Amino acid sequence: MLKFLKNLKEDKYIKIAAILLFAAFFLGYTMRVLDFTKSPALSSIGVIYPIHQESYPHYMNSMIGYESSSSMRGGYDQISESPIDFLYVARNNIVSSVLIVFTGVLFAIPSIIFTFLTGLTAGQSIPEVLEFANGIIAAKTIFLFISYAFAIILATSIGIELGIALFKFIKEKKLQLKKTIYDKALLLIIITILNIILQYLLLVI
Amino acid sequence: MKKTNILILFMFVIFFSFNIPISAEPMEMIPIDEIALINSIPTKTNSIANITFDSNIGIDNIENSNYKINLKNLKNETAQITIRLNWQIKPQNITATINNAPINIIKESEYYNNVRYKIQTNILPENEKTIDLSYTILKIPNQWNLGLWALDYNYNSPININFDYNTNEYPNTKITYTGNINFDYPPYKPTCNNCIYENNNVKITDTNYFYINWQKQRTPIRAMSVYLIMVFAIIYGLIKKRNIN
Repeated sequence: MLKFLKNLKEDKYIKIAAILLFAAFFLGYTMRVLDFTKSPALSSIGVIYPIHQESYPHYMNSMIGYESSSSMRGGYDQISESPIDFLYVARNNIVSSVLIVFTGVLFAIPSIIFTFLTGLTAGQSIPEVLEFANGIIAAKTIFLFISYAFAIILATSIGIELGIALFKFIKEKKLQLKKTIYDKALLLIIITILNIILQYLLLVI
Repeated sequence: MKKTNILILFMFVIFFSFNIPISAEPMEMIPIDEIALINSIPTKTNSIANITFDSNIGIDNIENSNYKINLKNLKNETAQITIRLNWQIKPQNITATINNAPINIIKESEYYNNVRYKIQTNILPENEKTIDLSYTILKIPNQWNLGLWALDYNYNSPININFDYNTNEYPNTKITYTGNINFDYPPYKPTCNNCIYENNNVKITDTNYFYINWQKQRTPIRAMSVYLIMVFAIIYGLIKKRNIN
């Protein structure tokens, strides 16, 4: 287990994915905190960054001074026009992971773009939540973003590795995949399931 | 090499051929029944609403407003008046009186973003009535453009007046607003539509419509603190890497 974690730490694809996500996050955060953009526009693509949608009604209510009532809390995602329930949380987490992993077959370019957009959107959303939500909601959102970021980094690293392996296969007529990719895939499944449970417990119930 | 260029050119042609905007067809002209149009336009004003008001927007964004709505029925027929009040959120308190006697305010909906009340009364033929309306409400910023350094606010009249008569003729109501809006803080980038802004005060004189936009400056302490931590961490990392190399 320790060896597996050590291998993960030294995996260059994970490093690339983490740098990509953080760079996009920092860019998004800078744009939002300096009012270059005034709304996290990309969050309308709920699949890419679902957490913002779920936190949105909460912090809006706390900002305008409404008492949080069950009728107004969460409940409904106005952009995708669907109720925020278990299916919503599961769908968003599974689709985003599967999307990033399997668009890797297009030479990893879509995987990289989706990860960048996720980072950018998250970077634009977090300052809003920090500013307008109360402490508990802000802490919950940041905690959920960190757990979501783990899944995204793993998915991107698999996607990039898959894309590069496919590129090499075309070039050298030899398909080579490292053993760690299977470990990473298993870990991604576990983290995605944990994320669904965590998001369901902390945001829906 | 030549083949590649031709292929690239071919790809461009295909790409742009999908992006050629298709011009819209000319709009179909709908013939208007001129006689019906002439009959529906009232020839003279048959009801007047003069609205005078005084509003104060405090530093805590609490708006205190006092409206005096003077309604005149010029027709030789009783008018049923409906005054609709629309807000985004529930007012903290609201009172309406006619000659110091309180009148009933009917709640139509009290949902978030859709708070609607109405006041109903009758005015005898060729008569007039004055309704005093006062309310206190929290001004909320525009919610789809949340600046972290300044929040956008707007003010327009929450009042919508309808005169109804038993005859089916469309009533021609003339509504005018005259009033003052006073700010307890200097509004940032105020823009005024049909009004004059001067020294934290907005004057509206004899207009049928007005709209005010302004911003209130704030400092994003929490978001900036986290940002500065990130910036310092990046600088620290850069210095550390430079020293190692």
